[in-house]
Amino acid sequence: MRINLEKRTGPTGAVLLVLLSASAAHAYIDPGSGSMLLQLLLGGVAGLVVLAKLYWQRLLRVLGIGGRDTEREIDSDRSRH
Amino acid sequence: MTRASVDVEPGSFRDRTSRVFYADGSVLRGLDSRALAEWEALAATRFFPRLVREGKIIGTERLGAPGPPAPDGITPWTGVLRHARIPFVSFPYEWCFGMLKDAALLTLELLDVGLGEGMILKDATPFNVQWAGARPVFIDVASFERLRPGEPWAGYRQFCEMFLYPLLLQAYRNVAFQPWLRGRIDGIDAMQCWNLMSARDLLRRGVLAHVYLQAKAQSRFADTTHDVRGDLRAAGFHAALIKANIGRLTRLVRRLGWRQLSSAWSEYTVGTAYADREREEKAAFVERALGARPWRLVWDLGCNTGVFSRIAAQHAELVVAMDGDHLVIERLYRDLRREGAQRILPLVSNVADPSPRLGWRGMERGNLADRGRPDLTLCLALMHHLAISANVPVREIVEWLWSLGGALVIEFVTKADPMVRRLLQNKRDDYADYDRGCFEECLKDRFDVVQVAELAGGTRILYFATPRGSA
Repeated sequence: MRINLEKRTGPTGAVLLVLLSASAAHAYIDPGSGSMLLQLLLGGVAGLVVLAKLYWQRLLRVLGIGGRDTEREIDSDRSRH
Repeated sequence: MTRASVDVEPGSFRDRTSRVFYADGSVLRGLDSRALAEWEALAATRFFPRLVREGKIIGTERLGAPGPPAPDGITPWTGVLRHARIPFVSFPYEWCFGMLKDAALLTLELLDVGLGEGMILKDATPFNVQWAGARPVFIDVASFERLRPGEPWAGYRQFCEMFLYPLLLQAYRNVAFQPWLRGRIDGIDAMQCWNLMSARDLLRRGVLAHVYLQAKAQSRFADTTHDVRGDLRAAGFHAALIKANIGRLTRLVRRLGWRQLSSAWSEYTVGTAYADREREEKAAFVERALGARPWRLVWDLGCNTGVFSRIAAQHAELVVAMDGDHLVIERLYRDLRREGAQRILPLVSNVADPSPRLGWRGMERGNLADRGRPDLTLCLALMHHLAISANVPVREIVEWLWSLGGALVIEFVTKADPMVRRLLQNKRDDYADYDRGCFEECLKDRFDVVQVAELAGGTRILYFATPRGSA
């Protein structure tokens, strides 16, 4: 099932994404965490929006409020508190 | 199952889901069930058949029958594809600036077009691009896969390391990229590239975004234990962001230019009164030798402007035109591209230091002879450089030419010639073996001389010879 993400915004969409998308990484080369994140800055205004969401989610996690844990996260932040 | 009839391509192992091998003269690709699913999605797109027709992607068909078993004898392939053959495989450290740039633009074009139908490339490496004459062709069909929702472009980092940084290095710093790519098969990494640039370069297009920020981002996030992919997915990363980045890179690469006005060999012309007549005689000799029979593969060593490659191309399926000077090859490439030439492949190659075998087990990337021995070699206006400038003994030069296995058209330039006198200018003349008699003796030990001609000036002699025995 393919989801058209061109107009995707909002928390519902993000929840759907997490529940429905496959968790397995498909690339056989190492994309580099930094390089993946940099793509947000290179993606124009839309990228900045996603970047803001990313940090908002991180902030929520750090504060221990709600937020969505992705399926394969190694939660080192929580272990430090 | 006979292993003998199936040869695995030694350079095709990194992607576990598919593998290239050769059987019964065909180039085949085995696909496992995952790779087969991606292939079926690719074959169903509109862009794939169109780009194959346009010659931008290698011709590919699915074999109906099960096909030969997998080379390891353990995993049977779920599907097998057959690809059209590339006449001579070459690698990015043998390309000139223009060739690497056009290969980059082709890769970006495929990414852009693919995204429009939900597909992306798993990787972004110049080893996935080959040449049909002077035209780039994408060969790694199994690199296409369906873009998963929320996935960033995994190949961006590799695109920078293998295409962009080498091009930037040459365009902005005038440093030839070939030794870098030959020295490190994975290319130039971001921090290395940044270390080679100065603060002033930050003002140049692409440096701040793709070099500096990437180097910083990579070192900052290198040890992160967050699932960055997952985070991006959850935050709503989408394909339009990838498309925007690819658009930026395309505009950037298009505008990169390498401006070098001259080099050691780019302005080489012989300025004597005999020059024109000698040129004509030489051309006529080469034409006569080539006209003897049709040739499959000709190597033109020290091709310079490619005048003899062009003559050869009329009598051969493919001419590989090599020269150690990459500005010379750049100019030749531009001319060939403009002409739409199909039968000449220009490559940067120093005869005295050619591409070695590289990579895993020293077999991943073969040397030139591994990729195709010529049935005719042109060695015109080159021997004196090898013997005097590179100090290679005459007998060894002849031995090497014989070991290539093909016939030979070779030019011997005597010490009376002004060019040779110039090479000897600042050297002690230790070159006793560099003499016509000695050369002919070495030649006749290994070859049968079919034709000889002395050119008008009296200092240059041409030979057409066929090899005796086999290497």
